[in-house]
Amino acid sequence: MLDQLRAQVAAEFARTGKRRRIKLIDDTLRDGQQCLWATRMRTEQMLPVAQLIEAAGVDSIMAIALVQYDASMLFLNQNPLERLRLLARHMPKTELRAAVRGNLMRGFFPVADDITELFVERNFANGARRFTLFDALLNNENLAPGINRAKALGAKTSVMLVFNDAPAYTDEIYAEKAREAVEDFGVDAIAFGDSAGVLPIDRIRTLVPAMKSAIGDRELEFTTHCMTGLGPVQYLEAAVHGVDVIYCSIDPMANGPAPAAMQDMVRDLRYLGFEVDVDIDKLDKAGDILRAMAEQEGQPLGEPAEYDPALFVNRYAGGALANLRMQLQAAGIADRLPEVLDEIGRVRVELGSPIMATPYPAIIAGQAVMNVLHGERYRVVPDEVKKYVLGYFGALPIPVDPDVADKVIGNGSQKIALTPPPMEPVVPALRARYPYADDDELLLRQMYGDEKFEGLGPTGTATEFSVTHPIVDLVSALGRNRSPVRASFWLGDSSVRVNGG
Amino acid sequence: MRITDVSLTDGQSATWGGAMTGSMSTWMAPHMARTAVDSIEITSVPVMQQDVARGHDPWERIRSFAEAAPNTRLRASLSLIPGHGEHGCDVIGPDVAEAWLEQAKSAGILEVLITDPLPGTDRSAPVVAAAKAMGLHAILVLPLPEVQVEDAALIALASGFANAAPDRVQLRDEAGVLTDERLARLIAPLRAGLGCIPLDLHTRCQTSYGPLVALEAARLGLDGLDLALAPVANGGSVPALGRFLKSLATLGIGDHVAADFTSVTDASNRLAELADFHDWEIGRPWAFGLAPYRHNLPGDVAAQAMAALTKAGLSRRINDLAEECAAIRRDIGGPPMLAPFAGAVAAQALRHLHEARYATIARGIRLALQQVAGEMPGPVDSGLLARVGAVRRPVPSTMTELRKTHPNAADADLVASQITGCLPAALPKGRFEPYAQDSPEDALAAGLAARAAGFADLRVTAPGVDLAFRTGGE
Repeated sequence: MLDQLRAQVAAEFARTGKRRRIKLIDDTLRDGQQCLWATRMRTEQMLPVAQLIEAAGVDSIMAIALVQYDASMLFLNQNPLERLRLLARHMPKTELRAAVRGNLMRGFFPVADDITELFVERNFANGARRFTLFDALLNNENLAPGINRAKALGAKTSVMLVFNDAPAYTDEIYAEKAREAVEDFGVDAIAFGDSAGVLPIDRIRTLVPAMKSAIGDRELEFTTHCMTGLGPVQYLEAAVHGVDVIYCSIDPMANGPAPAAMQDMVRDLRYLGFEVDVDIDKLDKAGDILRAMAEQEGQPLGEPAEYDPALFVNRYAGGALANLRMQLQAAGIADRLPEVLDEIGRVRVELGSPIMATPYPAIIAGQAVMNVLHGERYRVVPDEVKKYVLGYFGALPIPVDPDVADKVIGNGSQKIALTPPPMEPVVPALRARYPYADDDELLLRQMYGDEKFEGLGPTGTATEFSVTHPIVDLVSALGRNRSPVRASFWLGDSSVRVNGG
Repeated sequence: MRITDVSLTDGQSATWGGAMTGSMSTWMAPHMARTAVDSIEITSVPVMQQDVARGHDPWERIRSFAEAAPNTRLRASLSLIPGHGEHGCDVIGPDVAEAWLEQAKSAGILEVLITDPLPGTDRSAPVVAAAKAMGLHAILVLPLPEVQVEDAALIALASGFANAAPDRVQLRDEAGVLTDERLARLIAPLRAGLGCIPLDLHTRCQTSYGPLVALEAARLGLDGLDLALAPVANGGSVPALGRFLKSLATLGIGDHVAADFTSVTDASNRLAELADFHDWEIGRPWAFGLAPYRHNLPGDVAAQAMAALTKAGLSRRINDLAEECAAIRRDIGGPPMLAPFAGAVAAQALRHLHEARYATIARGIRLALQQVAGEMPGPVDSGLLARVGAVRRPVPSTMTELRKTHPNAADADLVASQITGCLPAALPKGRFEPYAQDSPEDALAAGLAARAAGFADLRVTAPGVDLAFRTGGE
């Protein structure tokens, strides 16, 4: 393998006369902690790491996405926009990225364009300089408000296309969608993501060149997860076949469900003959902090995974499967799970094999459960399914089976209009409701409600959080104690005395 | 597809550095027997050396296991270059090998895996014939060709091994560099060369491809596969048996494998208990890296080299180590990266990360340069050879000579001496104490003692129990 990959890199070098440089996007503070710590890393914990990431010289950092907004607001009581501000202050030279989930924001249904635009604006105002936009239906129209607003602000944009292991999702479809994004919006890069980590190696060898040739001189980015243990191979093959930029996570917050380890990738990319400008020593120092932080917080580190073909067989895995199991249990039909899973497979194909990303797993599972429960397939149709078929979520990349579409439209609620109604702007009403709120506050109140916004706590700063300075840790920990503390510590000739009260 | 469980040999050597004793193996025997695998590899050259080093009779391991699991087919692995470096037994000659086979058979072995770490079958073919003549099932090791070889050359290679007329041939990928794609390309020409001789596979997990390659082997209809219980699988070891069975079921291709998943899980749990009791880290997958494709170190040697790099704070130089391994291997004539050459190459490469190249020369490298175990496939570096000095290649000992030199030693001791490098008179003998974790107090005491580095002063009291530990020799 090494010799073959090296030969390909050497041939490219001979052809072009220059070594290709692979750029790095750090995804530790977004995807790494999302996959390993359920997104529970606090802002102040990120700051010392951020400084080292900048010192290491990575090209860009994926700072925040909707999941980070949710965890920050709902569980950590921290302001996600403040996180962006602080990250920008701690890494002033590094491009900060924010991810935008098409026109869905954090919900189940599409939202008005003006709230998506406000979301982009506030991320930009607080430090994001590039936006990665993603739509699970590969519908570029759903991305238009976000892309256009970002470009108007002077930010760079990448459109993320996600791998879908379904027959209709050919290399040509992906190349066409990538070409559209470049031609229609002039995006700066196309990203290709394999969130399930199941993109076959031989598919990379055809897909990457097809997409690359469709986007001209724009950069092609690549990210995956290492659930099968072969994620690092995917990255290396992708780079050899034309990918310019890869998203990695710093070891030890890498591997397993997370992206590949940046240090490993840098070593092996250089070994293959690519240029990679990054200081591995600094990454290792960041890794040391993350390791100590994980120990302090009782959080796991990334562990390389053992290859498991079940990941390729069952497309309905992980959190979605756990939810489904719970719902069936609540309905008293837990024993029919295998039947439901089979039906999910059929319904998915009939509905155009959408990418199994929120909200589509739930929509398909809802219909599958109805089909199993009622015997006659599509006799009972949930509202979301009818809306999906009617294009409420946007045009579908692969058409719905026409017979199924007829049944869905005929048997679904007649209250649902056959043509999706236009969505009214929401920002004017927000401004009227909160006349004294700034735009950050407006956005967060709209997304999470007044109670959550008003419950936000202060965010610590780097000087208050350390896993490498024991004295700082000690004093900081004592400071967090609710009851008065009086303590003395001696170490050799040094002593620390604390009098709280 | 025949499954051989190599937990007690390659598995524990790669994962626990050979710490599992014969008595522990016997303790595992009933559980392993219930898994219904086709055979269990109970000993090998490194395991016999480990036994002798800890003062145990290396034959007793086999006898004891066979008694505890009487209906299990036991396999032993014999390398014709034992690699202990003692003068005069660099290579196991044909009649010593035959005597070894007899001893192994009388201890309970039914299958034997025969390896000549240097290319060709001239030395292994007579051993295969001897094994078959005494009724043993003879499996001949075919090391994985490391570079892409044309189909015609593969057919010729395989037919050369077929000419030795073994019962089976095992394609052996100790460096774990095989991929599913490459295996698929190799099979047809290898089968063409082997004719009707069954083809087995032994692969490792250094690159994380191991479990996928094992499944591909099943899908392609290979005839046999080496696997291990999960606590000693993955990493530098072979793929895990339990995961393999589960994956076969997932893919719907498991009908031709007899092993029982529930019993495998039970045996794995039992082995995990042992690991926990002794504070041994269980086998885990390693992250994929390109280094194995260059260094080609076998799993156990790779595990030791990685540990040495980590200890020296040089983990980041893994690719430098890989390049050094490749360069040293070239310098010594390009032998297959199997024991004993691989260990010597790794040791020398580690030196080169700390000191000038060949500032010192490891003993194994000297012996390789001098080609005492046989002619290398390529030329050795003349400058290095001049430094160490050429020697006449020793002639392998014969049993007649050994009996004459050690008139009071039994044949079992003479052959064990050749394999382990220990003088016959100094070989440990007799039965070992059965392994037992007697009482909760004993288990607690042993567990705490094993973890002594983790605390300075510890006292445990309970009704009837009072244990005090203090580090520092008290």
